[in-house]
Amino acid sequence: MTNRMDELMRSFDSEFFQDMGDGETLVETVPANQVRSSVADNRQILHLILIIDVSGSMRGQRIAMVNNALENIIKELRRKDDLNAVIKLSLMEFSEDARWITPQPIPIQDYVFRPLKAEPWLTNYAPAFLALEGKLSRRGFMNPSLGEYFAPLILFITDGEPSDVVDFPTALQKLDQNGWFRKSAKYAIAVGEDARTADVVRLLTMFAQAEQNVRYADEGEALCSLIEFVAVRASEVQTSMVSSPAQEKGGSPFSSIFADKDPSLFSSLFHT
Amino acid sequence: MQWQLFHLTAMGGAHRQRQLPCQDRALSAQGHGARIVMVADGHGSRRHFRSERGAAFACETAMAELQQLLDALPEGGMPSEEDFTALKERILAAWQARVLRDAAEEPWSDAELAEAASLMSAEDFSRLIHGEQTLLPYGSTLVAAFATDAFWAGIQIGDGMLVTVDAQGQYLWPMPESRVNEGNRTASLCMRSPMPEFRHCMGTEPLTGLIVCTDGVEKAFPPMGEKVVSFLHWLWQAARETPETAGQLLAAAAERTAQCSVVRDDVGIALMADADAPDVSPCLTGQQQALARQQGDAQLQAQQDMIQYTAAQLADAASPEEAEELRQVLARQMSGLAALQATRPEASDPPAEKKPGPLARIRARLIPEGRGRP
Repeated sequence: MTNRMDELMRSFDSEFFQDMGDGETLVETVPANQVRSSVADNRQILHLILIIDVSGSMRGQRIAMVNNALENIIKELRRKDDLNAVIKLSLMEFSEDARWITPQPIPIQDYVFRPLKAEPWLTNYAPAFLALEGKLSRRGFMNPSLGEYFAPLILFITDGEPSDVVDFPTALQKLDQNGWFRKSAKYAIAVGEDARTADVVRLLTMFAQAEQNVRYADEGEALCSLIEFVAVRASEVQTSMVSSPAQEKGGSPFSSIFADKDPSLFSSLFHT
Repeated sequence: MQWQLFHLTAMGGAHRQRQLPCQDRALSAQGHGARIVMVADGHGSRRHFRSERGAAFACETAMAELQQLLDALPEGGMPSEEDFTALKERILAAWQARVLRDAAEEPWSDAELAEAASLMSAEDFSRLIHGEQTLLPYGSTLVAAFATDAFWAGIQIGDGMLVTVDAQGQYLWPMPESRVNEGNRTASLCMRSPMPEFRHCMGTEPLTGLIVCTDGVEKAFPPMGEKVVSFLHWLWQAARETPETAGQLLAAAAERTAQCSVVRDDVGIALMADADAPDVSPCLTGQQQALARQQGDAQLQAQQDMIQYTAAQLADAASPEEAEELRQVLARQMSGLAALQATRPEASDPPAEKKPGPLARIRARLIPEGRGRP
């Protein structure tokens, strides 16, 4: 390389890329919760959205199972959040209404786990779907100024059928028209014996858009393993830009999380 | 004027890891006083399992049609609106014919059909195997720029960017916005009704460069901001070196971007640069400066929101251990805010005569340490 070429390439690297030789240097100069110039931070971004049913029927053992699983998964994801990946978390709880616990996608290192509490209310899916739809936009979570325009992985955790059977299909239809939602990887986990019905399968498949993306957990350990497997495995998969309902580009890299694994690995995790 | 043209692609790190082929294509040509550069980006998902071919066909057919258009223009002439409409229709027709010929010469393999069956709806799959959805697997975008000494122009369908460079160092995005392209959405050559999404632009002001890129570059940066302008300026400078040096520099830059940007998508770049134009520094327009400030404001606001959230959590901490953990998070976030503010002195602490804002109060609470609930 000539001197001139060398000079130009050095200016390119210094202006657009961080020195990756030393992980500590990267952390100091580009805090995990900033992606000011995306080219300067060459780590992948995984955005995990958890939507959790905290209705009355989740009280007791079920919410305890979910809390235990969440606590463990956050610990595991923190270990994965390193030089290679920036993992961000958004958390919503819902019963009769929906509430975002996190105001925006939070870097996993900045999220301090706090147990969710089940509320003595009914289960309405529509508020959760509408709240999710509202955030899957440039003005919501998918803000290019913040480097956050990656289709997320969405986990929907519930224990039973919704009370708002009239309202929620319209809300789900609106959600399904959202380009980000369509390109997100979506999984649903049904918690508890009551969830193992044909109606629940049908409803959750409507959300997850593939029956293989709906799973059951009626034991604490299984739920913990299941959530952990999905999210942790996802953090190991390359994130990539995906395109639209107009036309797709790049498929979701998460869609093979369940499909391409050795079935025997799953037999202890999945109840079919 | 001495125009130098380059076209190049680089496979994205994400695609390399997933063992996908590079789906970007680029092409350039000059002759008879005209210059043409273009890029195309195959959609790359398993539904679009022949999109790297679709991108190649897009460049092939667009180049042929553009050369025909330019050859037919009188000296000093410019294309009319009717010319643009006819050009787009011919490109679409030629691309579709090329795709259909490819599909006839090489019918879908069993592997391709198996993938499609698992990803398409039953209705779409049925259409595919009955020959009614043949274009879909070849889906691609197309961005092309062309110029003579009398005018410059561009056509585009789908995402990607076309940028003009003028003698003042301004980098402008003249293409009208798509109604479809937003975030992860893109229009495509394989759409059922692509004409409404096939955009064009034209101008007569003298330029020193024209650059087209696929979204592997576009989405590596905050949109139309300072950083992407710097990046494009670097490309323009590199393209004005001797041809051999320029080729090597641009290839290295494309490779680096494809491997190291946060999107790690395939990169396609094609550009023309006037090697005789004087060196200028990039000059942000007023609108771009406003956008850069807006983006900076968004980052600052997001950081401030995070700090307020963490502070609220700290105020409600359930145990001393949780409080300590939250204090550490808060300290880290405050440090991040300071780093952001250091680059934006006008966005720093409020004037002294005002009461301390919420962030100043939060900062003060960190020293001395607060206490969580027992």
